[in-house]
Amino acid sequence: MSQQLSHQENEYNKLIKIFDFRLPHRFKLIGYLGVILILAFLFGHKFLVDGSLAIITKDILRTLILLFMLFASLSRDTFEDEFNRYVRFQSYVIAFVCAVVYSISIPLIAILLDILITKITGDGTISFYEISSFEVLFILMGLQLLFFETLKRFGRA
Amino acid sequence: MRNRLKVERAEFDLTQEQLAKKIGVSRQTINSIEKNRYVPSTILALKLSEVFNKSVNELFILEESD
Repeated sequence: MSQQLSHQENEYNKLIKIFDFRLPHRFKLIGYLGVILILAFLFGHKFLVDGSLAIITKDILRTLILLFMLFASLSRDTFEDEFNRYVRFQSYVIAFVCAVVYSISIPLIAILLDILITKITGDGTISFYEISSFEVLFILMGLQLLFFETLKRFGRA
Repeated sequence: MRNRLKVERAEFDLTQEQLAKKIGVSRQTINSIEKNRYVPSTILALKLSEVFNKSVNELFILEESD
C-alpha cells in the first residue's frame, strides 16, 4: 500500500516537474524578436517587394512564428514566484477559451455574411470558411502572451 | 477577504521591496496581496505571519461575502 502511494507520489512529482518546466528568461526576448522579425519580413515582402512567397517558405515561416511564440510563452520571468504562476495559469485558461470561441464563431460569422452577400448579389454560392491550425494556434498563443502581460500589469498597478 | 499587510508593513517600517525580499517573492506580489487582487497560498501566508509575528488570522480577515 505504502509502495503504491510512493509510486503515485513519484508520478505526481514528475507531472509537477513537467508542469513547472520553464525555459531561461532570455528565450522571452529571443521569442518576441523572432516573431517580430518574421512578421516584418512577411509584411515587407507582401507590400514592399510585392512578390508572393512559395507555399513551403510560408509554411516554414509560420511554423517558426509559432515556435518563437512558444519560446516566449514557456520562458521564465525575471522573478518567478507563485503570483507569476497564478497569472500564467489564468492567461492559459482565458486564451484557451477565447481560441475555442474564435474557432467556432468566425466560420459562423463568415457563413452568415456569405448568406447575406449571396442574397444581395444573388449568385447562390455559399462557401464554408475553414480556419487553419496556424490561425488557431497563433490566436491562442498571442492571447496567452497578451493576457499574461496584461494581468501582471494589473497586479502591479 | 481583507488584510492588514499594509498596516503591519508600516508598523515594521518595511517597504514592499524589503518585505518581498524577506519572503522570497516579487514586489509585485506584495502589492497585489495588499490591494486584494491576489490571495496568497498558505505557505506565503505563514511566511508573512512569521515576519510580522502575528497569526494568519490576524493578518487576513474573512468578510461576510467570503
